[in-house]
Amino acid sequence: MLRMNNIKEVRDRDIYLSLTVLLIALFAYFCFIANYVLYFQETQSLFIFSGDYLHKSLLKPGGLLEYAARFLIQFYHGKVIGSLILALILTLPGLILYHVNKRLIQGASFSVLLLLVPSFALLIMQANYFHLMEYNLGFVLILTYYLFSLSSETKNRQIIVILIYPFVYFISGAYALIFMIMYIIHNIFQVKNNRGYIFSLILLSVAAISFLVLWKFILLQPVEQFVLSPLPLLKNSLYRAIFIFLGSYIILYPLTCLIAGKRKASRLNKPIYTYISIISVFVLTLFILFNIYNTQTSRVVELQRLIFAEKWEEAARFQEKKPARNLIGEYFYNIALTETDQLCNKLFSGSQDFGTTALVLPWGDEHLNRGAFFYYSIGLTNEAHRWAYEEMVVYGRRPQNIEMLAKTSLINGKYAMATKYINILRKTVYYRKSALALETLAGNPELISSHPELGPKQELLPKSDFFIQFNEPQVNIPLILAAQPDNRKAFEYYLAGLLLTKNVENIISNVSRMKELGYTRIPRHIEEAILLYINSTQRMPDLGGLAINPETKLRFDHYFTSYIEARKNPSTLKEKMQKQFGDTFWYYFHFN
Amino acid sequence: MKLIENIYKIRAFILLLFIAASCSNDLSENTYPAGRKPVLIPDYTDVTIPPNIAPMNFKVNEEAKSYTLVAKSDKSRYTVKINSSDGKIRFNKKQWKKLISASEGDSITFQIYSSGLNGEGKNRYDPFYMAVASDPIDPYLAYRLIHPGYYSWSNIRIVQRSLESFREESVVENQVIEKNCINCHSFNNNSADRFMIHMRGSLGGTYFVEDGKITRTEPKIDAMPGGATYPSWHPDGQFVAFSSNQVRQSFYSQPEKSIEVFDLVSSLVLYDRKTNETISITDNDTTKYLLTFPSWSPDGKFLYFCRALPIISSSNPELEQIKNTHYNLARKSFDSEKRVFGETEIIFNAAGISKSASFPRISPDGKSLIFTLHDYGTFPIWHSEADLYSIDLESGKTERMNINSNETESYHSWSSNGRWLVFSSKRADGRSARPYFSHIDSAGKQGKEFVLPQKDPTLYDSMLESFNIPELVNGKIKITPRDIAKASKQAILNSKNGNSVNGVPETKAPEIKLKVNERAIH
Repeated sequence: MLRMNNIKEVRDRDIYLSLTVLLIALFAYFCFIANYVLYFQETQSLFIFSGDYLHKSLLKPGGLLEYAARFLIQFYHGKVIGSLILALILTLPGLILYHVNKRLIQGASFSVLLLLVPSFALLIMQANYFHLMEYNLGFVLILTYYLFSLSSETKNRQIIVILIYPFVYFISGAYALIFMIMYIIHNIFQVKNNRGYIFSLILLSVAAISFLVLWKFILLQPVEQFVLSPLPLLKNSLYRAIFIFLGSYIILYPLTCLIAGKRKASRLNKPIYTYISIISVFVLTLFILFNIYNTQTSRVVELQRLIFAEKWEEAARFQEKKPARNLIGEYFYNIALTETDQLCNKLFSGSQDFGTTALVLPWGDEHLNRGAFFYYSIGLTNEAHRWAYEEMVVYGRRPQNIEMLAKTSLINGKYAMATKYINILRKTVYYRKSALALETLAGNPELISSHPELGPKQELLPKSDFFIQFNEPQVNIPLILAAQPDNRKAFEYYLAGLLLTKNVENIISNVSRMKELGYTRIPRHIEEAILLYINSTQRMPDLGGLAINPETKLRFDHYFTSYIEARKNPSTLKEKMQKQFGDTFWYYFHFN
Repeated sequence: MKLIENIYKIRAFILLLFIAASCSNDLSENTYPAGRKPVLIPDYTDVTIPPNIAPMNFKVNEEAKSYTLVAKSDKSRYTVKINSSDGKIRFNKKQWKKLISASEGDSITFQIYSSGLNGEGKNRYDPFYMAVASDPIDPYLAYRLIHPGYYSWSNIRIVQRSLESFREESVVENQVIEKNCINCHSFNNNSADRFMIHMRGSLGGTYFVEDGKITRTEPKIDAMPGGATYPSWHPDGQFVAFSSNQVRQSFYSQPEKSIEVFDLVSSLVLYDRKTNETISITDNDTTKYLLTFPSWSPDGKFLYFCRALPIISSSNPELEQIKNTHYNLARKSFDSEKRVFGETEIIFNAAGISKSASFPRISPDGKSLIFTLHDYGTFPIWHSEADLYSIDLESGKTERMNINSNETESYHSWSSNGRWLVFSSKRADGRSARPYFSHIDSAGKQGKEFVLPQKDPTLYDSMLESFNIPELVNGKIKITPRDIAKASKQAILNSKNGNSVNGVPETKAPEIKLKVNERAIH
């Protein structure tokens, strides 16, 4: 007896230690390495404290699970609290299974490994930024339900388990189906008597009736919703494999416990083997996490975070230092430059692999959540509003689309609608403050025109009307310039388009306008284009009273001599020139 | 023990005093006249309501600590008193029913008192009234709930709302029909048993619901430039007139307007339910005029519609082309025996005043026609200047109705008894359409309009969806979304070309293909 207690004490301590280490590791991982996953998810939904928001969750099985998940996801806004919540949730399966093991496999130290496996599996799944909190909560819920069914062997307890099943199904959707199979397996292998079989049959009948009643009479959802939602069915082979493994693991857990319990006298049950197994799984998990970590994704999400927070300078620096070499990364970089009036100064300080497409995103569902920023930057607030609205309709209310709708409504003088959007933000935890700030502007045109962000946007609005060209979005730039010739943001976008298409002649013909647009110096890349023009035509263009910076001239001379020198070795020419002049229009012109 | 007894006695005495005070009808004592009517959300002051309408809940939008409403039937003196701490006045269903029954053909006077934020003083606002008409309204309103958006859609529902209570039920939900787009529900003589809807997408078609039976049809023939679009059901139930439109939309760059929806080509066809034939109504030259918004006269002898000369030459028109497109109101006589239409008559020359007419709707007594007048184009829903006008069909006199606002008034339809008009208005926020009701008496006089009452009177403040195509229905629709979902599995019934019967040769209509990224609208 004494020996049993000692073993138990050691095991308890080890388990708590393992779970604590897991919690700390998870927290550190999500706080310092994979925080982009949390930020990305936080921007995918907006938890609103309202009856209407809750009501929408009651319209489908699993809706309440999603509601609870959205509630928790809102805290991802805070790096520390979000990581802590996620770490806790991912550790919970281990804690629950520890109590399950206590009931099913007394004395088997090998059970420490068994209880950690689901947390490791969920961790790998969570590394995918589309793995939402409801998927974790679903597994936690059914494990808790299973533990509840085990916590007493009385007939009454089993009756309660069956009676609450419809509610569990309503709350968790398809996760309740996983529980149902798990419960049947438990009764077949662990209970092994008539009562167990009868309860399994009753639960099966209750599940079928719940399904039919909810489907036919209460919830208007397609059948797939009832059978599959909200299971994580992402189209990623590794992710799917882990999910199938985890689902099967949980379903077969009663059987696994039975086998583990029978092996308690075996040599494998020694703590040393357990520790080796845990460390192996831990290392395997780390290996998988390391391999699936996508630097480009983390960078683009970080860049998005800076753009959404309107930290333009920081965003530009980030992209220059840690470039996200994809369309969105380069698009955001160009937005950041525009907002800081540096587009034609620093366009080539970042990578420009996508040409003019990275200036204006093409219309389509794929870019709905980002396309508005370009239109907002150049003063086409109607179109920015449309993109944000379309995003809201397709993907639901998100912080950035509601904020964009509120701001563009204020700029456009649509105060009643602005108030509606502001009221949505008011009912949130993290966006309430910005809502209160915007609220003071509604109905007050003077305050809007003197607002540091909205005022300048109002000045960019077109003075005459035209139809937006959504099929050829670049065409909108000359159109807004025609409707508002003083719009410098649009002007720089126009010039950036010419730079990216190497249209030097057209760039030169626009230089003379610059002084009247308020320029006191010519942007660097435009100077570079002028010098190329002069060099190739030997003609001095009309600079409209502005002059070329001597530093740029010097650098051009340097470029020229370096080019002649590097040309001797064609195999290293591009690399050498990129190293020295990769941030210039000259390099882009000659080597892209 | 004695102390406790005394406390109970004191509490009982206070309670009695409170009850006595509450029973006193003379709340006017010790109150200060505000000198104006209270601000209500929604504005229900001095409106005319039907005798079978649901409780007209509202919020008193005045800052105060507490509010008291005394509503008194001017005919029977039946009185209802409601106290509120948040300004929301919600009537008890039974009391409300008794109040309006007691006031039928007369009016109810509402008196509101509010106590100051610090509990000091009590304001007495000027009373307002609601006139209770003797004419009941149809018991149900059907509408489509949809985000007033652009291209994209997600959840769309066609809903029936009891006007006698707050009960709302879905008739069609696109959740159970593969998220198809559903639109343009139309009823035959306001009948709950006979209506149709269009569905667009994988389960597309025109769904006819007739006495519990649902048929999935496709009334399109080659002569039509697009699918069957805006419908109007002939009063005898055999025919449905459709417009067939190639619809596009463009987006404005300036803040004043958001969207322009326009037709590249449009024509009118007649679908015969009995023979499942579709025939061209006008002629085979669909490029000569743009023809849309068919609407039958109640006797079925005339088909009204809107007609414009096409100026738009491509799917990407200039703004000026749209601005110069003006639709007139026109009609054609119809012989239902021979399925033959007469010559076109212009009823209202909107183009002559550089305006455009939409949505003609003739009153059930055939005496007046109400339509929407706006600056240009064919889609007044996005035109804030759009207003409702009425034409006296006997005298030809046209006048702007007094139920308009500074924002859009557009879609409208009549009650089956012709005494009520329901219409869409965006007056609250400029974007979301809400159904308003107005009483029109036998002399054509319009009562002050009111918005559809809701259980929570502040619902509209946060709601973003629009109530699209409000139609009054004479009973409860028995079809459920699951019935429609079941019918969507039916093989589609393609209509036959009936043009040879009418002697009109068939030509294939011109079709302008959608561009990449361009979608048809919903």
